Amino acid sequence: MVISREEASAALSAIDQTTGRSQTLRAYGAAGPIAMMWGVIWVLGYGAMALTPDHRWAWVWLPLDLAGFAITMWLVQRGRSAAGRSSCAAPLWKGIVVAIAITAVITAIYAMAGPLPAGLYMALPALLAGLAYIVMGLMRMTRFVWVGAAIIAATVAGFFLFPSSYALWMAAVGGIGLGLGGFWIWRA
Amino acid sequence: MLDELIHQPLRLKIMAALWAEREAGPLDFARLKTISGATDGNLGSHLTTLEKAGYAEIAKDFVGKRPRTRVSITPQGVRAFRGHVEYLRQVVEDAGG
Repeated sequence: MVISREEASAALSAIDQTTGRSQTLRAYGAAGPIAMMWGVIWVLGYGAMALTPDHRWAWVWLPLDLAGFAITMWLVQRGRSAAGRSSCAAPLWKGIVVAIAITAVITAIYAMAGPLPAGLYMALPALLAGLAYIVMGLMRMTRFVWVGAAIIAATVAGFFLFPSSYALWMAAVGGIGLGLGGFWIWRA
Repeated sequence: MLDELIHQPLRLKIMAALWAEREAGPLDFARLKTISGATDGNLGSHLTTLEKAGYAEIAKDFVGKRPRTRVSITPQGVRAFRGHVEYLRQVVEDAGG
């Protein structure tokens, strides 16, 4: 049996699509638990912000962020080991680099801007995280676009609708929403 | 040369998925179904064909009380798939040149 160039080209294209889909699903499987874990961190962090005076907020987030980054690294490494040499952990490492860059940008903004209004102080990291998720989603994992858009929408909505209980809003809607988003990604 | 057994559209997708996941261990039946877009019956039938040809290995066990079917590509399957992809590339290049 002999096949035409068009048939061969279509078959190669089908192979590329299938392997790409396989890699994307594996990446979802690795990224979902990370998003769920950050959802828990948000619940704890924003929940603690609601209960502590604003001059202690940085000390609330420092250990949580460090723990979050350490667990993220561990999850990425674990996913990489499980996936073998052909692991698609590269997008996840890019995600970590983006997260570190965002943390650096937020720290710089806080340092340069001086004392910010409490709502803005709380909203800024969430908005930048939402933006990062959208960028990650556009690179490969489309579901992150929806999660990022939902985070941004929830952050803005709470800022204007519930300014007096914004920290609790971010803990409940932002944190639990991120956790559910992570679960949705993981189940892809 | 063309491997007619692999060239069937769904079997091509199955083999591509198994090849992509070859280092991650056996692929869950449900996951393979999602990746290939096949129905249960269709996938099962094509997997049997690939197993008989020695290209795929099917393992069935239980996780608690739930039955689990996992599929992996065999070394013979890897060789056949690589050969088939090579052939496809050759056809495209020869026709292009």
